[in-house]
Amino acid sequence: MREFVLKRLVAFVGAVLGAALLLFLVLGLAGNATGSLPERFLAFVVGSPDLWSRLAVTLPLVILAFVAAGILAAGLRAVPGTAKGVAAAVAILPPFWLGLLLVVILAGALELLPANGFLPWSDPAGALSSLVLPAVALGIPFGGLLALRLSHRNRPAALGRTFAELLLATTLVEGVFYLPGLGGLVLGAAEQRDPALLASGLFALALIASIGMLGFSLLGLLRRGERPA
Amino acid sequence: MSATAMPRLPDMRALAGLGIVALVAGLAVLSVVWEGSVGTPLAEPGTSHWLGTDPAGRDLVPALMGAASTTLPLALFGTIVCLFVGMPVGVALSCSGSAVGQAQHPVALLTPALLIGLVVSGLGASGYLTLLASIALPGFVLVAISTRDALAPLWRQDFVTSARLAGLGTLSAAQRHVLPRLLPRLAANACELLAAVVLIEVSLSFAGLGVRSPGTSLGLLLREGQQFVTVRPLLVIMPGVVVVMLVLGLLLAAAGLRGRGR
Repeated sequence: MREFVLKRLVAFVGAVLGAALLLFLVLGLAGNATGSLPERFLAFVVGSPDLWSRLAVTLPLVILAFVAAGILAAGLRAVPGTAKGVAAAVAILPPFWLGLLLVVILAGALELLPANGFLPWSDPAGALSSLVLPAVALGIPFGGLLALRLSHRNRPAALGRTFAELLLATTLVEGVFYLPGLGGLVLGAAEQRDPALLASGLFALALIASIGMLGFSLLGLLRRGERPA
Repeated sequence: MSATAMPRLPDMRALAGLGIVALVAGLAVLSVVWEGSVGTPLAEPGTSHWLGTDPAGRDLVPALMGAASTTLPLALFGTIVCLFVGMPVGVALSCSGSAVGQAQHPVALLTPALLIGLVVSGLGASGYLTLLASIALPGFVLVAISTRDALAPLWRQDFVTSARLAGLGTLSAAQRHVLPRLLPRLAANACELLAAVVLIEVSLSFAGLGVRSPGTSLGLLLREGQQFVTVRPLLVIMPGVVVVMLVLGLLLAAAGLRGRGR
């Protein structure tokens, strides 16, 4: 058991360091930033304060969307028979298109939820309600994908992998709802060809994804520990 | 060849899927000769423009067909590149008889593609180069792995061994006994790859990293329609419907070609 935890921790540290090194070598050095090499590496890893404040949008969004995906996956798996085909079909729906559809249906026609923009967390109900539509848009396709993957043996790996994919998919969805999140920053940096900012943003995403994957594998260990082996 | 009752159901799926794909492809080809009329920008759907017009005043129906006639050849080209590079590698890998992994849903390709697209675009690559890199790199790996997984078990089967013992060379054994059994499965893999590549193009062009403004594609139509979503919802609904139809048709065809069990 201790060996397993140790292995996971080493894999986690390795993944984070590897991502940092790779991103810095490929993107961090391509920019025209000044300063010595260690200074630039530090600036790349720490990122800008703006970058970390954007986490207040992206992190709750990803968690909410993953919960939505989990609920859908559980529902799909509860229905036998054609559910596998349905899950495979649902998984291909582009989340950003679903987001636009939700805007048309709910915000446009029914005026139920705020269609776009983010209300700050000083108004928790408002902030949450502005995350509901994007979370549903992300949760539908990834719920289908999760339902397919959960039938495989290694569940923690399936959960961690889907979480990481969902995280990257927020880059496409945040723009649809005008959310000031990390994904929007990464996408903007890629569009405006700002390699240094892109590297910092992608590193922050890689860090969150690694933490999530570590968390799921440790959770899997807990569940396995409950049963007498 | 009388016992053909079993694969009837899969054939229907393959036919239905390929029918949908052929319909979209046919409409795309038709756009070469029919450009449509230009009217007032953002006109409402009516008798002169069935689905209304886009921000440039172009009828949405030919605009959709034109976009499909860019997306489809682009996706086909990307898929063929992946197949040409990936299949020989997969065949080579299969000879060593390594372990077989589990089948992946084609959307698994989207995440590495998006990641590569972001990095390549951030380094200053043009839209088409970004698309090519983000399609070819993960696609090639997927083709190599799926070809290996399809081939590896076959090399060890009895009929191949006995054919080789009977004096057939490796190549003719492959031609006579391995390839015919493999062709449907490889075709199914190619269909799934094409579906994934269409999704990659749409996602990247929607994000502004793929096809850009003077050009046209299904993803770009979605991007351009986005700001008019509350005024003219059809501008974003219809390109997505075409994409979903195309991808579902390809997956249906793949499922049919593969047979009943996945």
